[in-house]
Amino acid sequence: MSPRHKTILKGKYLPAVILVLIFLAAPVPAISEDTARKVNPFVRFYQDHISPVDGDRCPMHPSCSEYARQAIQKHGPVLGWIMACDRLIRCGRDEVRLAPIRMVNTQPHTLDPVAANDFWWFTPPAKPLEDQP
Amino acid sequence: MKISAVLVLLFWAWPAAAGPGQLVITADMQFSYAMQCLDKKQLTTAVAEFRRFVHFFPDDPRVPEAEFKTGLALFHDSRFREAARQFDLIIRKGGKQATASFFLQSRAFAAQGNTGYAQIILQNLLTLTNDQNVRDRAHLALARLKAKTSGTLGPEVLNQISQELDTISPANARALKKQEALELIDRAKAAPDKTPALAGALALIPGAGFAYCHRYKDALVAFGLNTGFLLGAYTAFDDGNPALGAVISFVGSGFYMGNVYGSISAAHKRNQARQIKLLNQMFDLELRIDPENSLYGFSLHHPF
Repeated sequence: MSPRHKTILKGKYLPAVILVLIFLAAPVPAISEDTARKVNPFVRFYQDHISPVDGDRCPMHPSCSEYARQAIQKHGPVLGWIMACDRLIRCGRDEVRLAPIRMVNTQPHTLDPVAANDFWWFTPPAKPLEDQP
Repeated sequence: MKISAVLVLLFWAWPAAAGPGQLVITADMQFSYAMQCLDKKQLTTAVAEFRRFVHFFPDDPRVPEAEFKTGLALFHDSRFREAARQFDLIIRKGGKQATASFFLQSRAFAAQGNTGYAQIILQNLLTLTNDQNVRDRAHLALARLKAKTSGTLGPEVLNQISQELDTISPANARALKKQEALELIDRAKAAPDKTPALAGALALIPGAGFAYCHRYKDALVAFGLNTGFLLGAYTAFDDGNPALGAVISFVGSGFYMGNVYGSISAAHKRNQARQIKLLNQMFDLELRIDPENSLYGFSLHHPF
């Protein structure tokens, strides 16, 4: 390891690294759909400009960018970002043989919604009983 | 006398006055046609025809049955909200279809994702009835709903299901396969074979957590990606390019934590799949997605 690298890790950059870690560890509440699109320009840019040209190639449903958008909307930018990275690692690999298949636009897709990956720690709020007959 | 004779003749000739190409539909014909539609799974038509029957023949003794069949057709047509309303109407009127309507209304609410109200309906039935057969079926249905409500089949949920099944009386235990269900639940409790905490700890070495959960392709990708990001960041810092190093570190940290998160998640998913596979020996329990409520849970079908 070079002396410069040691300086980065131990010297003036250390507070910044700690701040980043604190930021990542901080709980962030869920945000609205509009806010999710606004705070995540990368997803918005990808969905608006790259994906239409690149084509619908993601074998999962929802697609990875849509999954990222939903995860950020549901769990905030930090956990949403982590869940999106997890999805990118898994996209089109072991999940294809393990998860259920659904037809989307006449094509088989592997069903892997956000709820399939947060069910073990996140309980959705109870639905109000307003639909009673 | 003449006028009376003319009136009698007119009355006698009335069906013929409808014309040779016209048909007078009787209650029997209407009911039979509605039943035929229901049997052929022409559900929308069946609903309309049963409603027509109730409208035109309100005094017919088959009206309660027609109302019940309307609810049944709505239910099978996945019009759960309308079905729930129809069954509510039948329950309020009482009669011999009321008990079955309680169960079906509960299932209609559960199908809409409103499992809370589905449970309340069954609990109301338990309060209202003393019939042991009905009570036992209600307990079984409540056990089913508890499984459905839960996002994960943890030990607590499985205990609650066991408790509900325990309340089934010995008289109906055999018919409702109580003992088999309890044994399966005990086996399901012991089914999880991967420890999520261990998967998370192993994932500190990128990919090891996925490999522990038998996801070898994911493990390879996680290892490759994280190693690449680490090397890239190191090289950027080493070459005196801290800005690039910071960007790579930021992106890489997401993938590193995603690898840890995914490993824990993979352990939970594997355990859950094993439990479902076991419980499927008795219940038709399948993973389902509720798009309306973004729920991920179980849909359990069992003849009640």
